Amino acid sequence: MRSRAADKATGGAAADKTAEDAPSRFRLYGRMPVWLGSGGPENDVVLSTRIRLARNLAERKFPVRASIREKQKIYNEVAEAIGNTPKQCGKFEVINFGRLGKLEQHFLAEERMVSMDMLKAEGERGVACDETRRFCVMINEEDHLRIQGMYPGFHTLDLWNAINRLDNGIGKNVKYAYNDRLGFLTSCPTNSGTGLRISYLMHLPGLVLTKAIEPILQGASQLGIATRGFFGECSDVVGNFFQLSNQATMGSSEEEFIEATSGAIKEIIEHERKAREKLLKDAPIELSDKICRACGILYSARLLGFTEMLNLMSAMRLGIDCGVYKEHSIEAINKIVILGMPAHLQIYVSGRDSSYDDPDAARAEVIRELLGENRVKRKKRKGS
Amino acid sequence: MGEEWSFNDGMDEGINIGMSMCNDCAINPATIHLTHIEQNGAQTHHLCEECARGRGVPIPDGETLLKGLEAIVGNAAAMAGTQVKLTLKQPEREREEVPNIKCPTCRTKLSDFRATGRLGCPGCYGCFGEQVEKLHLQIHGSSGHRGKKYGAAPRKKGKKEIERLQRELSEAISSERFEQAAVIRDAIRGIGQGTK
Repeated sequence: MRSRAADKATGGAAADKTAEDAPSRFRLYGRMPVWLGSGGPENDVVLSTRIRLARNLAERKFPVRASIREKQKIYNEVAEAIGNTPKQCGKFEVINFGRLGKLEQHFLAEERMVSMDMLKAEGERGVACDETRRFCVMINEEDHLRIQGMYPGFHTLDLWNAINRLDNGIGKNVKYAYNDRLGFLTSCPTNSGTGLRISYLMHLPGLVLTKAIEPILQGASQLGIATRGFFGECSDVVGNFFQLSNQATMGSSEEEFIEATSGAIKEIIEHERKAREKLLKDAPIELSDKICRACGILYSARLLGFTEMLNLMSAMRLGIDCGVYKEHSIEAINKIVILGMPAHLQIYVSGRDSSYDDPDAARAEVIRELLGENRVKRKKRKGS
Repeated sequence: MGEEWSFNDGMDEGINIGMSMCNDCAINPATIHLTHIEQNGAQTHHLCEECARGRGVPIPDGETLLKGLEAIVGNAAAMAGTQVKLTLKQPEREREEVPNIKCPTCRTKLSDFRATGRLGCPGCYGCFGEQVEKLHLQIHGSSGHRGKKYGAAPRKKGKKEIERLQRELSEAISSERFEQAAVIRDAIRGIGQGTK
């Protein structure tokens, strides 16, 4: 007999049940975010690629200065413009962020569909998500529009072309703040010009363990690459996850920025792979020990904080990518990482009879269940 | 479920790397960024000069910083085939000389912009043109757009706003309020640029 936890972990019908149990009708519950999917190019090092464009309406104050009434007008104007984009841009659903509960707001932030700043923003604001969950538009964050797209793995111009198409579609329905000399005008001058930021979410445990990360990031910084944490601008680096993106947005074309940034990222990918090879060659026992210890804690812990979980999962991911650890797949690891995030976790356990006063206790229990389920399934496959 | 959980589990109480305030005093802007990298990840502390000194962090003087900056900017400039020579500015004196002008469209003051790093409306780009241009050069190494062009769009509302500001400009000139007139003129230019 399958356990309830197993049903949830495998998605499908169980995921729908989770949606029913959840405190809202939110349709996204129980589905893995697309950017966390496995199998994308260079997926052993690059989890996902994100491109975002900052845009504003020409005759409106930026959100930081706009009154409540103005924000309402901007929200309506932008929502209508997104709704009227051509079919090839995708079908978008606009979610009024301010009317969501705190849990749902954090859920969207964890899915990286909205930024952490959106949680702190005030007044009418929203997010328009397309059906595939690859593209979304934040309304009234720091700028009137933040158009973004996320693909799993390493991408360049293919993602830009999709985002550019969406930007053109929206730009025909509203009038952007733009001038030929300065480009797209944004609330913060750090974004003006193209308004483009291409970010790569990278897993770099090899460089951290071989202590090569600092010079690599310093070198990247000289090439105009900024380093941020897992959740972008307002977050620290945890679990060896680094978000690397272009610093400048003015003075080059979008394609040139993407080419320069992706070129630097390719080099970092190679450095990371070489570091992993070095670890496997020079310190196989130490590497194996680190991975197995992480698994031991994940299997046995009764209290597990989010940051600790990410750090331990990082070791497990490294083990899988290096072929040292074969008990779980990257898909399973990704699922555990997303379900271990605070809002996801709260939704995941919300239908249970047990009461969890401490999220760390709930996280430890859920992870033990998910790890156990995955291992049992592999054994069943072998026997069948 | 027990009591409502807190979500600040190392996720939503991060540090703003762009225009952040000092992590220690939360009063002054952070100008020193220390990243400490360990086996399990990195942590960044954003500090103002005063608090950094309090923690015993050596603060490089202007000349040392300038050399470091020249190496970085020079590297980028060399890639672009140009040469760069940086000179030390006297920010305090410069601030004294620049009047605290205000954008007539959104009422953002120059001091607001300097404190937050945020502009209030597209018109601010014209109003604080000189300051924004300096910032663009610092951040992007360029103050000109070379990206995609955005097509011309109807300018009805922009025209109305320009007409209103032109009336204010005439009044300011006729009553010899020349400083205010200059601000309004810049705002008109800004809107003109913003609606192109």
